[in-house]
Amino acid sequence: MKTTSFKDLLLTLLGIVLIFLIWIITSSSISNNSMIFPNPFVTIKETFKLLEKSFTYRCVGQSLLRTFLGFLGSFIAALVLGIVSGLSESFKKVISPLFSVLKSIPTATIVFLFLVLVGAKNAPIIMVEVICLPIIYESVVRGFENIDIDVLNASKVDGSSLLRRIFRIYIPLMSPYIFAGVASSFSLSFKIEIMAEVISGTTVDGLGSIISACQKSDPTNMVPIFAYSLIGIIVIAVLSLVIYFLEKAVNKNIPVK
Amino acid sequence: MKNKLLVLATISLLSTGCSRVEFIESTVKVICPTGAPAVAFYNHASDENFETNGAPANILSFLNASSPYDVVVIDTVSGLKAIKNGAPYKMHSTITFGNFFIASTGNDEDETMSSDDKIVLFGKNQTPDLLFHYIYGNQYDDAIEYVNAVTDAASCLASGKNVLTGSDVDYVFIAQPALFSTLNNTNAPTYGKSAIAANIQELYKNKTNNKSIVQASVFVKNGSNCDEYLEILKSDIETLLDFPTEVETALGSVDEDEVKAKYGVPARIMKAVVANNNGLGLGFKKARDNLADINNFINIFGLEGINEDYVI
Repeated sequence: MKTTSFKDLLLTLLGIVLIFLIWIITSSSISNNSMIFPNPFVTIKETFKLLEKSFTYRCVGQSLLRTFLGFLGSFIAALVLGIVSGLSESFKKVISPLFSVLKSIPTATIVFLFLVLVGAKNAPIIMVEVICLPIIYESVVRGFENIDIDVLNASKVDGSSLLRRIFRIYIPLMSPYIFAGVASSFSLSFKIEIMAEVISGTTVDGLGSIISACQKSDPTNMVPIFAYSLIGIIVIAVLSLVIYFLEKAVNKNIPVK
Repeated sequence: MKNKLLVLATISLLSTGCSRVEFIESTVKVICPTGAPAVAFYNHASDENFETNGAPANILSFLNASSPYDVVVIDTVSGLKAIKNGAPYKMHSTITFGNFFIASTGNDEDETMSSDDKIVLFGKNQTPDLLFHYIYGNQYDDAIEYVNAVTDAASCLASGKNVLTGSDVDYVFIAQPALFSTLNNTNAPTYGKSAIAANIQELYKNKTNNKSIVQASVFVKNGSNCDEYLEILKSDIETLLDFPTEVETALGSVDEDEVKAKYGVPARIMKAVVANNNGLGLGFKKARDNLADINNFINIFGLEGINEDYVI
């Protein structure tokens, strides 16, 4: 397995510096930049101010909680449907149009559709669920397809029950692919949650809600919007890092075909 | 600093949503748009049954038989249209009577609105547009440039330019509290030059023989008993108009961003705008006693007048 070298770390740091450089150049090329594109210095200063407030952590916590709930729902559904699809080619064919629809349905439509059914507060959870479901489902199916056929046959000969085979053999062997799906969709799901909070207009604690409120209460000051967005970026970066290390830990010693 | 942040982060994330200041807790379920109408509910900051929504169009979707809300606050025209289309609600009262103003950016040298000036209007074919045309007719049509929302109008006023086209702007049709925030933005290029040029509410009264704009109203679900709740609301609004500092007393202990998220307006701006000649247009008038004003207003929107069957 490839290890992170000092050079990799340096290159990553260089990438971060580059982002800040682009940010500074863009911001300084715009007059009255706090109204349109605040520079990193005022944004970071505002971010620290926000980080001193418990409300900020409540917003992050609530957005994360709703993301997690939506994600958990999609994960369980994708796992069940993915395994059934792996076991039955006919089921996979029957269900494929549904997933094509889920993948192509405009995201805003999902919010409006569920707004009345589950309320503005819960619509973002459903949105995360619906958008992440096809991504994780495909990872599960791919994982199943990549299980060594000899292992599959041997497990059947062994005479163990289907449930036992699923939990003891299939899921562990599929896990690298499942984790790849989780890794690529969890950060995305947090972004979806924030966007859905904005579209649904909900005013419950959440990063999307507060970003939208900042824009509405003082549209001529973009600094708090950038600061809350920066907090969102940090959260996503931390999540990605956690998932990366989890993925590394799980993939260790699991043979992938 | 590091420790403080760490402790705050841990406690807040673990007890997310648990710490709240206690205010009025009612059993009446209410949904209201953020902004001016929500300010009327300043005593309901932690009332779980009082919800706000930042997208008024979304609120409209709750005016149906399966809606969980006993009270829906929405703009009068949309609410009455929904009732005409079968929504099981009745209009109870109006709580905001217009918060529209025309502000000058300071670009117009003669400081008099004329057809050779550039005027920015938000919400094409919506309330601001229809009100503007009702008051001024079509004399400024060649001068009008449209933007989508009040937030865009605020950016135009702050910069003196149309945010969409980049052209210079002389006048902007705008609503409170966005007007207050913009006029007081010291970073805005128009700071110190921009000013209120016209009060739409007064112009409307002059044109209609002292009638009022009936902007946001309270709609009550058929069968719901909200009389006591709405009596308290009326009293709260009257108290606020008499003592604008009341809003800071009620919301002072709540984090400014939390108030901003729930109400769409920070408490200090609520107080300042209400204290400034009731800039949010708050009030309380029972629909039953205000049918003439309601009908005059909804006629502008091409809606047929209503009778007592529509009100409670």
